Amino acid sequence: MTIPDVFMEACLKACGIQRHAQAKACSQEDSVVGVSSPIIMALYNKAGEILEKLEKQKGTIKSLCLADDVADKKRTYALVCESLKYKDVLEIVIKQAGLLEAGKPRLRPSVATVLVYDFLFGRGLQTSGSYKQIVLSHKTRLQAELAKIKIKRKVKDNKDLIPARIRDAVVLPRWIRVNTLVASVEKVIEMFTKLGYRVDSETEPSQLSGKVFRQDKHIPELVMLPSNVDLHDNPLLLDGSIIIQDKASCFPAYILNPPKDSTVIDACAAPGNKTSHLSAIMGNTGKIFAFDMDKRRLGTLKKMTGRARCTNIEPIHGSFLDIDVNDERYRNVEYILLDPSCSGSGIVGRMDHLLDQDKESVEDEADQAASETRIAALADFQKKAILHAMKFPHVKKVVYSTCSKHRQENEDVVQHVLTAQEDFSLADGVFPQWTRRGLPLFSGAEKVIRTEPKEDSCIGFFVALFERQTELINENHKVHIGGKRLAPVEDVHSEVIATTKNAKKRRKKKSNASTEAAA
Amino acid sequence: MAVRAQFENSNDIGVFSRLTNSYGLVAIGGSENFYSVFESELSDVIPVVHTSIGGTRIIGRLTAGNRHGLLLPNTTTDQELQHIRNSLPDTVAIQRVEERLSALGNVIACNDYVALVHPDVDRETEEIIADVLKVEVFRQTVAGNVLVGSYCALSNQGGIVHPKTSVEDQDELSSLLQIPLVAGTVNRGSDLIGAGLVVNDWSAFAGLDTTSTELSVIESIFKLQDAQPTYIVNQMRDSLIDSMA
Repeated sequence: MTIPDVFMEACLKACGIQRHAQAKACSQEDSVVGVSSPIIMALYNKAGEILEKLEKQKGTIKSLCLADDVADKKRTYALVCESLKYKDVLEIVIKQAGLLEAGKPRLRPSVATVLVYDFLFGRGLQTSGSYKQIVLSHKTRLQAELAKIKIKRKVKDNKDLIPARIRDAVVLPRWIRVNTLVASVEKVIEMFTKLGYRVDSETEPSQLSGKVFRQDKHIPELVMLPSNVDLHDNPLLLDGSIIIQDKASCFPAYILNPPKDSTVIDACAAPGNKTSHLSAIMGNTGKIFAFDMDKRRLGTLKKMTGRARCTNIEPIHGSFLDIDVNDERYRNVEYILLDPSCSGSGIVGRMDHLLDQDKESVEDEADQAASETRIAALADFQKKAILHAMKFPHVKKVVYSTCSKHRQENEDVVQHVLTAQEDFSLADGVFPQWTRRGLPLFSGAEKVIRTEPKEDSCIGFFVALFERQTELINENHKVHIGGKRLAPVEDVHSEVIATTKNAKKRRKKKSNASTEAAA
Repeated sequence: MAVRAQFENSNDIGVFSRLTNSYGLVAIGGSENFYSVFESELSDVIPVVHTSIGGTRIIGRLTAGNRHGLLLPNTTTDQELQHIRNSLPDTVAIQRVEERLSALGNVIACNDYVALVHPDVDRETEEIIADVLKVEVFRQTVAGNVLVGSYCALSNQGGIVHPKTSVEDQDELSSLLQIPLVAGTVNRGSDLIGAGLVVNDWSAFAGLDTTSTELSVIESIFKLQDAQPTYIVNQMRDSLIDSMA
């Protein structure tokens, strides 16, 4: 070899042949790292598989990501959620870049989605091996297609590519209720402080993060935690001292507020959070009949209330509508908590908004009609349930609640019930600190309560408290018909105090009603 | 400044030269006239190199490059490669590309940040373009023409595209490139912009037939009226973009 030849050789190495050298280095690296990559490849495979199942509606994000066969649940969950956020963009990018037509074996579309998410928006590909090779060989194209989409949509930040529906989704804080049967509020707060949590009463609820908590200003036994707090192995949760329960779903029991030793029906009880709340309010005295149609869910109720150490609950499998109001067992029932099946349109799922795009955006007429008939059917059931509850001979208060935002299930139902019977009317002075009241569709709508997810940091909820009106008359005529009453003496006593307290208000209300009727 | 020039009686000077912000290439011709025009404008600042590519003089149509690198077709001989390597600054990466569409100058149009390429170039070539020229690569057409390099001339300041490019296409290209664009002609109405015009950030060379109106459009879109060799500005822009990215 002459000297110029050697020089030329060096020269070529410096430029012309670089590519081959690179290709070689690449394949070497792959064969080396290939040993540890199966775990991470499995992560991408699993996340892809979950996306496929979600597409076919074979489960929810949570149930699929937390299944037993998922190795790295946290990462899989994050990967699935984030990929879903960018799904439409990712699909366009993958299609334009022709990623699915490349490589052997071909990439599954769902796996490609997670891989490209991680490459473009995530922390970069964590894997090596064939997946990395396929994606990196399309690196430029993928980036170019992303840039084109961003230009087309006139956005600067990747985050702005997330559909508005998902970006603006409400993030609710995590609410926990202190189970006063097991622990006091002070004790729980002390325990949380010991675990390193501190009070933060300044930050916006949706912005809460880290180890902070805040006591609720409306219901003292409620504590607000950041939305991403991990409680699943918290000792307080396991021993029943705290119960994860949204703020709004604490309202019905709080508003019904049955006294000790009373008899209560929880008409659609499962999964039992409201039931155990009732039990806590009553201090584990008296009796609560908890009905539910679904045997499995009733099992959950037994488990939940057992963990909360409630001993005054009697779970009954069956429909509340089918029970005889004059049955000897239920004759003493004075309070009924009625939280019937509803459309659930007020529920803000933690991640469900990633999936239900067809619910709002792509809703066509047929869907709308279908959902309207469904709501109408639900409303019928709800009206029936309330009227049935009011037939119990000694019931004094019926609290009605839904987690729906539709007026058809809320104000309209209440209005119907008020006109369909005369014994019950809406109670006055319900939860006066709460400012968001019912939609002004009928007179007295200000007596019912609504919640708004965005502003109240809890799910969308509706609560109405019906109170027996004729009780006043009963009270006045007690001397004459007193013998008929079966309630324990002390209970009657407290009731007298309560009714005289409210007497003025009621008279006023009645006169209001009559003037309105005249108008 | 925009200057008129001619290569051995041909106005298509873009065919016989390649100009970037860090080097210029000119074809080896019968006379030194053409070379002198470039030399007088540029030689204080950047190297201007005489070369052939694969033994031909149409170096502007066969090569593609910017401040960061130079791409050569697989017809380039080893001697040519070595000569270019020796003549250009070490910061310029040089790469021979195995691409079926070997007239790289016709299928690639680029400045220092973005490259537009023929929709059918190999995926591997695309990756090499991105790596060597340090650009974002977009598969595009210009006014329906796949030979993007022939129908536009780009610098970091602005660009001229085929005269029949629709306003929508201009908008799209302009937002991809992040520079102002204008649809125009060179050489008294020729739509082969890439063939008639070579530009960098502070100078432009157009064919001798280019009218003064055409030349004034060129000067204004490429911001050449009072342009100086703007290395510092360029570097500032680089670092600004890096810090903002």
